[in-house]
Amino acid sequence: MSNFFMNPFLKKTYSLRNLIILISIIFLLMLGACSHFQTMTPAKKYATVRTAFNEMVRQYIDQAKLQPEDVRAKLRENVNPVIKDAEKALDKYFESLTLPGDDPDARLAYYLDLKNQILKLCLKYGLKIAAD
Amino acid sequence: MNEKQAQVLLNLITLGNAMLDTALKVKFAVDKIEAMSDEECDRYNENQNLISDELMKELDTI
Repeated sequence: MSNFFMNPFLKKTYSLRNLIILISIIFLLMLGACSHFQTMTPAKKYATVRTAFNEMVRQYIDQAKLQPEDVRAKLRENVNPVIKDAEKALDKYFESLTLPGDDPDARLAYYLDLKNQILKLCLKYGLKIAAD
Repeated sequence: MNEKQAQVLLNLITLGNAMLDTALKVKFAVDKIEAMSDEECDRYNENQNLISDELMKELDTI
């Protein structure tokens, strides 16, 4: 995989916009693609989402490091804060899961709302950078 | 196919490759998580939290 990204032609053409789209899509995968997610225990849900989040960030870091300095500067300024916010938001979501007597429907609504907020943030910054 | 079309195609392939790579890693991890006991899962979560902390620090180095 890393050899694939080291291809000089690919490295040159791999645009910032695609990076943003990539992290948005992986976030969607991470929050929506696990078919057993709703039937898991809270600890296993946490493990699933945390693992996917870590994989997404690993992928982002590896690819961002291949970008030229000016692009990396934009990523540091615009995308890194989104990822850090998302990391905090994940913890916030799982804190809500441990509330006593919490309604499963309310938790699901909270989770969907959180996912939408994160995606909006990713898209907002993605479009802003793509327009530059 | 001109150079621009080739670039678009390469970008699409790259994106698809990266998405599949991540999705597969997560799928294997989910299979492992589902088979874990509660204690194993707690230990796994502690380890993942440490990895997250390291990644958040590494973010500043890109």
